[in-house]
This record gives sequence, structure tokens and C-alpha cells, in this order.
Amino acid sequence: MNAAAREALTVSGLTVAYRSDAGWLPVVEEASFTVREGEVLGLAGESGCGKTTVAYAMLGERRPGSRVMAGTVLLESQDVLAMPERDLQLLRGARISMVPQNPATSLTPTMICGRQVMEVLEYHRIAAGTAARRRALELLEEVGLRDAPGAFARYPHQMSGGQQQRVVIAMALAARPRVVVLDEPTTGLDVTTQWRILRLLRQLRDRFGTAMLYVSHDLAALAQICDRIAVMYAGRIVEVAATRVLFAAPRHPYTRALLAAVPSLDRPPEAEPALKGSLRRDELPPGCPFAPRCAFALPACAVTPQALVAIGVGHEAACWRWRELDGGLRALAHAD
Amino acid sequence: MRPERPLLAVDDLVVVYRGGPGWLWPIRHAPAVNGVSFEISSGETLALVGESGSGKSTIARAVEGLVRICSGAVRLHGENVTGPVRGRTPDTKRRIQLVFQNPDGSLNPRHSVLTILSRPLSIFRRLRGAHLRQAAIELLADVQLDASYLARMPAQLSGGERQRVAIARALAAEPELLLCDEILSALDVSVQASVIALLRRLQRERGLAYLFISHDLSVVRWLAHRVAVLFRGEICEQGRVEDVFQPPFHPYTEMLLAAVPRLDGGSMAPPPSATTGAGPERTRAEGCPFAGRCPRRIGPICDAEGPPFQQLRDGHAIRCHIPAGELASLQTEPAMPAAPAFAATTSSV
Repeated sequence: MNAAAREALTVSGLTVAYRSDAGWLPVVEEASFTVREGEVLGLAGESGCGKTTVAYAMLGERRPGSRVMAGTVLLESQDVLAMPERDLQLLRGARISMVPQNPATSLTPTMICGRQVMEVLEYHRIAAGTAARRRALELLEEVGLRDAPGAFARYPHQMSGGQQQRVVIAMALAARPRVVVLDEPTTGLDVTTQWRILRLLRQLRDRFGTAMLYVSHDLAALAQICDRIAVMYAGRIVEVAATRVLFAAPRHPYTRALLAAVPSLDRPPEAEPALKGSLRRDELPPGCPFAPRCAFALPACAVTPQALVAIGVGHEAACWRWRELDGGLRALAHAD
Repeated sequence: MRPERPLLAVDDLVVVYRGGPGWLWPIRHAPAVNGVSFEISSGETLALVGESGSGKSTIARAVEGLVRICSGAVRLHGENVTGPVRGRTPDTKRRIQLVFQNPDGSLNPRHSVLTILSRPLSIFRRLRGAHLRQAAIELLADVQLDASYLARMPAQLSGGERQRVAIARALAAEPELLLCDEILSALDVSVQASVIALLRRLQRERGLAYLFISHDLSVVRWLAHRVAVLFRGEICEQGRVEDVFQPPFHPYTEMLLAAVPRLDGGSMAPPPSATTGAGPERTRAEGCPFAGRCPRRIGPICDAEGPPFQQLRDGHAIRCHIPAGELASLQTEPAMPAAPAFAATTSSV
């Protein structure tokens, strides 16, 4: 019961489909996960794996042409997916908020930044007038903008990408939401700026106990901030584990191949790319979606559906050969 | 080291953008590129690294002849080709090709892959009809796409496929130098790996040279032969990749490397300037461009005098007032991990 109370976000069986010529095509299937208070859960995967669709579903947002076919998204025991639009508008920004990828397009270009933070406070009736102004200044300071009054009065185009993202984070945190969803928040920023934004997010998480769902294709960035990581492939979560466990002992062949493909300063890339081919949504087998690209697949994999199974404490993988392949995977890793 | 003439020589290049976005722009007259010199030989990859706004793309555009050069020279095989692209001979244009960061913006959405590849094939190689089609199929094979892609439209391709079509289009001109402006940054790691393998193979087979612009030091480390580190339009360090990626570093290079996220996560050493933040670029025009942010600043000399290029081994040069030996001893401890931490954790579990 206590453990349940600490869950800020509980997603079960989330299935989202997009309209296509051949009917509804599922892009997210049976996604289930929880994010606890003060926890950062990473959602990793390549483009087209459905991670952004999941991110938007957390706020009850449907991307154009998509439909939630099944599942629940519980935010403090209320199902976001069952809420009417009017309630969602009060929910978004107040109890759950979003930091999207490109700060330049998520800020209004014709409004000074301080005004945009004030708007969040006024919309959710947290503060108004001079109180809102004072609070907005505090928020801009909180996100590490050195000259908060200066930042308040500037238009977005007068700021660097990193400063813009700080303003967006200030807006996302303005109403002290329980959950913040971040969609590739540092993609496109310089490494030094990324470093500072990641540090800021960790500080804010520690200070306010905010739960975060951090969506990114960048495993190295996820490694810096996440407590746990869920790996998605073709709309399905194929592995979930504590960050250290996932990087040290990946059990799903896709996770392993993905990690091997991440460029690193410390080791040269493998001569043969570990992940061959590309994800073809139109050619998915009825069984494991990764089977066509998997180096360890048996003929039976393509016809046998795989579900996440617990394989260790807090560690789940959707590969029926995880036990059998464990030794083999490591033998291969050493042979490299 | 280099007996023959380099393929490309850029000498003391200066580019100034006029005006800027308006009266609010604080550094209107600061050059985007200031006194940049480098050479690239056939079959060689030179990487330009630095933060956004450091002038990386401007340099590529100046080499291609797309921006006005204020002073300095661009030479191809010793021949001066400085100046706008419209003044260049077709042969010079053919030899230098540019691939952009975003294939969505550089491929015409209304043209099929065949039409996209046809233009350079007819302009630079005067091919028509069946010969042109055959050449287009061969180009697609070079980037590991089959002939069925000829009829496809850009919207029917994945991001990686589009980038490969953009590379195939550049290759259609049979260039000697490919300017790659952040061509991997929009791609997934698996697609990145296959494009990197492609670039390596083309270089091996044809002696293609690359000016490889990237902010991803982990890619640059294993792809480039030499690296030039740019800060505010000026080169602060240049040399062979193995020399630039180990001490002594220019303090800015050191900061960039420290900020690279690592898979073992936990280490995440603070970049030396973490507390400094994005400070003023330089306190005085004649000083070191990095002085305002430099964590290893030694005193007034940094503001007053432009630092000298200290020449180290094999063309490795660091532009800093601190003697290279001193930098090396300051930096040997934290910067490079003794052993690959990722491999270590893998074997211990």
C-alpha cells in the first residue's frame, strides 16, 4: 500500500494506433510502466519506436491521426485517458507538464519570456499581477538563469538554445507538477549546455521530488540522469532495468545491439555495425518484432509473441531466450 | 609529413556577417570566422569541432563559396578558388560537394530519387537516358540502396535513407572533397553506424577527403585523422586526433571532452567551467577569445594578449599562454579514464 502511494504515474496496457490505408496500425502496444515520486524513468529507443507517442499520451494528448485503443494512464489514481478535454487543460501544466524537444518552437516568439512564465501561473490561478511577476522571477532564478530580471524581459530569439530550454523548464515547473515529461530536452544543444541542463534537472528532481519521464534516443544522456530505463522497439517495451544494470548486463538482444552502436570516446566502434537493417513497421512478424534483425533469433522467434518477464530484481526483458543467451552474449562481448 | 600539395588549403580565412539580426545583437562586428588556416590531403578526414556559433558551418560554406570571404584564401590543388561559387569553373564545383545536416530540407519533396540524382549526373557528367539511369543505380548501390528506390519520393524514405540519398547525390559529381555538415546528428545510432561505415569505405576505395563538421566528439574520435577545435570563429587547437584527444589539451578542448556523457553515467566529471557558465566571450578584443570562460585563466595576460600557437609534435598546435608541459601535468589526472569504464563494468557482472 505504501509502495502504491509513492507511484506518481502508472501506465498499464497502453496501446495507441495510427490511421493508415490498411486500417488502424498500432504504434504503441501494451506499454506498462510506473514512475515513482522523485524518480527519473528513461524511455529509450530509435526514431519511430513510439516513445514520443507514449510521452504525449501521458498528458492525454493525441497526436493527429492517432487513437488510444486500450490502456490506462493513472496520475494520482485518476485516469488521464478517460478525462474530458476541459479537465485535461487544467491538468496539463498543473499536475503533469511537458518539456518538448525544441525550445525555439515551444516558446511564443512575440512575447517576452517572463510574461510566458507568468501566463502559466495565472492560467492555473497560482498567482496574479505583481505576485505572478515576483514568482516568475524566482522561477527563472531557480532554473539557473544568472540574470533573471534580464531573462524576464528578453524575447526568446535573444537567448541561446540552452537559455530558452531553461525558460521552458521554468514554465514546466511553475505549478510544481508531480510529473514532468521530457521529450529529447537536450537534443540539439551543445555538450557543455547539455551537461548543465542535465545537472539542473537532477537538482530540481532532488529539491522538489518531481517524477520525470525522460524520453530520448541518446543512451549516454539517459545514463547521466535516469534511475531506471525502459527500452522500446517497434512500439513495445522490450527491457526495463535500473540504469546501471541495463548498461552492465543488458539481457535483450536489441538493448545489447543498441548499446554497442553508441559511439564512445573510450572504445572504437565495432567494425561490423551491431544493429543491421532498419525497423520496417510494414514487415513486422507476428512474434518478436526484433526477430528479423536479431543476431540470435531462431525460426520460432518470428512466430512466438514475447512478453516482458521478470528476470531479476526490477529487471524485465521480453526475450524467451534471455537465460540461454546470457552466457552466449557475454562470451560474444569478450570475443570482440 | 606531407610531400605533395594538399588537396585543400585554407589560409587565414576571415568571414564577417554584416548587420546581424538587428540592433540588439551585442557582437555585431565580431567576425564569424577569424584567421582560420588548415589543410586537407586526399584520403584524409579533418574534423571541425566546437559549440554552435563557433563558425564550423561558416567555414564549410566559405570553402563551398556560399558566403562572402572578407580576407584569406581557399586553394584547391594549389589553385586559388576563393570567391563565390558562381565564379568557379564547373570542374572546381564538381570537386567540392556539400552534404547538409538535414536531408528533409535539402531534398526536393516533389522529386523522385531518380530526378534528384539526375541533375548532378547530367550537369557534371553529361549523362543521358539509359546511361544516366545506370549511373543512378550504381550510386544507390554505393550507399547500399537498391534500384527500387529510384521511383520513391523523399517522403517514402526513412531519415537514414534520405541522408544516404543526399550522400549519393553529392557522390554523383565524383568529388574529391566532401563537406559533411553535421550529417549524422539527425540519425539514430544504428543508422549513424552504417553511414560511418559507408564514409570509411568510400574513403578507402576512392581516396575521398572529408571536412567533417560535428559536435559529437565520440564519433570524431574514431572517424577523423586530424581535428581542429574552434571557439568563437578561431582555431584554438589543431592536430592528429590521437594528440588532440589526450593531454595536453587546450582548456576549451578539455572542457568539451569532460562534458561528453559516458555510458557508465556515474563518472560525469564536471566540465572545469561548470561554475563559470556561459560567460562573456572575451574581455578585450586583443586577448584570448576563451579568456572569459576559461577555468585555467592565469591572469591579465589572457585579456591583454592573443596567445601564441605552441607547436608540438606532428602538427599538434595549442593556442594558449600556459606552456604545454604545464597544461599536460594539470590535465593528466582527471581527463582521460585509465581503462574503458564500460568494458570494466560489463565483465564484472
